[in-house]
Amino acid sequence: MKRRSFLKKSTAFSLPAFLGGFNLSAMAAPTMRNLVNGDDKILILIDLHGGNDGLNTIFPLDSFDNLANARPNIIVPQGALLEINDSLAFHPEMKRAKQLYDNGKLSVVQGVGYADQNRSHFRSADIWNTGTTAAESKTTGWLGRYLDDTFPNYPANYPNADCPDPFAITLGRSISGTCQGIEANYSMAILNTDDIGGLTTGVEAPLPNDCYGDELGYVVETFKKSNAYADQVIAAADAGFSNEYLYSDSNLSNRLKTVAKFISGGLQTKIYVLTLGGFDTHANQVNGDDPATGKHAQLLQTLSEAIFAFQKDLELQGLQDRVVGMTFSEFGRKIKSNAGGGTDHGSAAPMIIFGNCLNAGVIGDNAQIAASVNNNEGVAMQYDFKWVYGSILMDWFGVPEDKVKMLLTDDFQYLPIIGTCNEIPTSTNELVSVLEAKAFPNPFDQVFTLSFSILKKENVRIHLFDVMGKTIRTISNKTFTEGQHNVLVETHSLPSGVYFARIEVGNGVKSVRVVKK
Amino acid sequence: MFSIYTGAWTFDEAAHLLRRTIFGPTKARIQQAVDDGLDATIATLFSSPFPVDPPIYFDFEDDPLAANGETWVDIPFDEDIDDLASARAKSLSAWWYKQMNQNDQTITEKLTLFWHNHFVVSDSDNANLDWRYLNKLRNFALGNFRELTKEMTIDRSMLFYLNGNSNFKDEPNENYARELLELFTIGKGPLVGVGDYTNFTEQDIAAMARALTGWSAETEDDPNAIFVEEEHDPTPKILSHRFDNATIQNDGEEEYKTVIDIIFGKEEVARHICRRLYIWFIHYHLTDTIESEIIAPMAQILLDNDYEIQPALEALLKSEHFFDPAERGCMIKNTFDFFYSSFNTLHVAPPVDIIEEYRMWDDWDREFKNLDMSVFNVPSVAGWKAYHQAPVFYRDWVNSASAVIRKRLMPKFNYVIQNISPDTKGYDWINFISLLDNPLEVNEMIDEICQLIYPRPMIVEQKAFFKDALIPGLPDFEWNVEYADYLSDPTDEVKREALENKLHDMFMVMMQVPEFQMS
Repeated sequence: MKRRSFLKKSTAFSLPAFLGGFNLSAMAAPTMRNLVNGDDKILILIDLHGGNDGLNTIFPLDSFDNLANARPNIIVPQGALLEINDSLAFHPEMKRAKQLYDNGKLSVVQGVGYADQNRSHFRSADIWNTGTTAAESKTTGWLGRYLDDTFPNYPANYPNADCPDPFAITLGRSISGTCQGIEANYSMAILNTDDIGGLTTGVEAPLPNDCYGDELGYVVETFKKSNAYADQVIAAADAGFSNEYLYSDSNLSNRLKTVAKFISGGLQTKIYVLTLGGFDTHANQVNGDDPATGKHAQLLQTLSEAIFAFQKDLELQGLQDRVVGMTFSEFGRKIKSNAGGGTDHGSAAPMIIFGNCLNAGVIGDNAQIAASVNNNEGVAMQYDFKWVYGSILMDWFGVPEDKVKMLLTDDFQYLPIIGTCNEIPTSTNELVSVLEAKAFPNPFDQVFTLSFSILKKENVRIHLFDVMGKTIRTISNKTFTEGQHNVLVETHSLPSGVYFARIEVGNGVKSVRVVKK
Repeated sequence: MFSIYTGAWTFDEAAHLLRRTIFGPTKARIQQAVDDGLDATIATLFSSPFPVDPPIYFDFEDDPLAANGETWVDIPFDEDIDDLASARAKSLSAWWYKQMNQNDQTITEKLTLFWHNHFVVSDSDNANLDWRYLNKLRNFALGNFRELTKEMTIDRSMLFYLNGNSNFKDEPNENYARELLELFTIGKGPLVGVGDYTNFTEQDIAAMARALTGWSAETEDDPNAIFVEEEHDPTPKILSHRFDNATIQNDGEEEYKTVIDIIFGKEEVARHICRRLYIWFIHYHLTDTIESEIIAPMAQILLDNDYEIQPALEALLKSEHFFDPAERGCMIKNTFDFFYSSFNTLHVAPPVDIIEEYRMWDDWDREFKNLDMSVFNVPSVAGWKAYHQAPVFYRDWVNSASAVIRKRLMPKFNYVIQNISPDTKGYDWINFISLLDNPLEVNEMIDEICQLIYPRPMIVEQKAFFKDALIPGLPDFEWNVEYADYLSDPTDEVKREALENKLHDMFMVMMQVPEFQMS
């Protein structure tokens, strides 16, 4: 219900809020055009490439000692961490992110991943980009499918008077797999705003109806679209304004500064994709003598300073209600560190969402770290990343839920990520349909009892995962009545080791770690 | 479609074959092929390459055992010497680019790159290992696919790259076994059951990983990987029904061969590698017709010849289908094809001094990285996206950002080369056109250049567009006047310069139009 009321509100209030804080020097004609269209929401994706170590980003204080025990050579001393509430803290280099969090401009979704975690970079990146399950393979990106659905004739006849600007822009050399449509990719790669377009198409000859015509036609179209869009992009960059003093000199900062200029200059691009690489920290993730510093710390600093500057820049220009950003990464890393002062490919990790219109706070439970951790163990998946994608499509781009299911997954569950603009942080989230889940005995021999309670009669899905995030079996998928329930789980065929029972009730999720003796 | 091509053998057919089999064929090379005929041209392409000198240091003075200008390939890799690793790695990459420039006779360079894209290794940080890896690819390029797979399975660079090096009895690592099945040999089919990818199952991955335990790349002096008995799992490994429930019995350091032989017992392996070759040499449109008319008979030849690559690949490159006019020019050039189709085809001479030449290739390596293709730097174990990523395939090479970088590449040639070797010319247009049939007549000259550098005919208006860059707004005979004037006194530097500049303008336009992206 909250979601719908938000949608109404955001439409009704976007105009005055926009004008209220507006910086007059930045008011260029193209900006007004966006307002008239109304459809002015923008999504920023930041790809933390290489697999971000979520446990060195957001620390579960309720199991800090166990975490320290599992990764003694890289753990940041608890005293140095930046507490955001009683049980969670940010890495010390995320001061700016904490500031955003404290002001309700940054949210954390915990334990985001997918079932049957694939720990290969390229395959897992494909899964995140295309928005599939681990078993499926799709050739289109999750945003590409959304855009295909909205603009079914792309790329023919684009750009045009109604859609003069690129639908999506990647700041870098490559286009984004997230924006791959059936016929064409919706993203335009921009490496340098001073050098775009200007491509020679020469004299166009008729294209033969064969593979040469198809491939050459693609090149010709790419050249022409680049030239056509380049004029728009250059005009927006020229008309746009950015409070440059806010930004530090990192690549990511510079690119977000460019995005701020594009938005301020009235570019109607809906999606911007940026990449921050270097997260594949197998070795020397931290400095040996001071684990609060080092490679990963620098990346987190770069990220939080860039987001902070960008958010501030948008606020100063009155553009903050139009933009939401989120980070994603192909996987988190193992709970245990390795001997080389690094961490290896793991499973789930938190996602960071930023913007002015969030249901601010923390969604989901803290990662559970046991006293004794398996060598291959990653953080158990709590929320499917497709739930996050879909919830943003619903609340930010107004895509109906049934369409989201069609675009992403039938198993979609809505998460209240987007909220009213300017909301102050809440300490609890609204996902409380599962209460008090536990397992006993634990450790167990062959059989354990899973005990949980729910608030109302609902379908409960329970799956058993191994430490690699692989689905072992479905334990339950049926309706339970309100109250407490005990489910007996039999594991005779399974080898000893660590498992996770994941209980899913609507969008409420609890994972219980169990150990078979 | 797969029968032997018997049609016309002219400049266009020869050029098509050579564009796909060597980097940047010259007019002379194409003419040689026309004169030789199809059979002899194929025979030359499939002959052994000339022996070449091994890579040398070109910018490194700190190795006590090899001076700058000398080779390092047989000298131990000493990690304690600062920058030695990077000096050798750069030398090896430069050496490879040099072969792509110099070997205009055999298919070796394109095929070696094919295998590099297939059996990917990256970032081993030890160029001596990579040198041995590369030699295996070069030596086996046309040899036996099954034996090459065995070599790769215990190659030290590969053991590092896909964690075979940390595949132990008590802690098996499935990374190599997974890619061996999924990418290198039989390929992954549709998921048809839990962990069942049609051609193999998760059980097979786990079993094969265990069969491959015990190989170590951590050797001091031995150039080859070593087998550590204590780390090898001696228990029987039982495969799934996809491999007829076969059992791999313990065979110690010979066991890996059993694994490969079992996989290659399945005919799907032949079809999988034929598809990869088809995408590399012809197109990515693997339709049902292509499957039944091309892949099936080609795979049969491969099987009939016990996985020897040469007969099957020869048959493909000699087929009606390969020379079908509708199949020509359908490839978007990768970075190397794009670069060498200018550098080699248009006769850019590398510096004469070998150190300078290596330095130049090293500079190009940086440019290649900007264009997302450089050697020993393949983006993933699946290779470059252009050869496996649906639906984009070849189109991955060209987007709004890369098109701009490509546009800037040719205009940089002279600068990059002369920065290293001030006396080297870079493009030498006057020399280049002197090799054409009739450079005095502007239309004939442009016709001939178009036929050389584009895969399909250009229309009259396109040629007029190029001519306009050469003699803007002037009647055709003015070209004849200017050029003849120069020829009457070739020592006149001013005239030469003026002519060279005009030609430069025209060639730059010719290399910027979309058709130049095609091969």
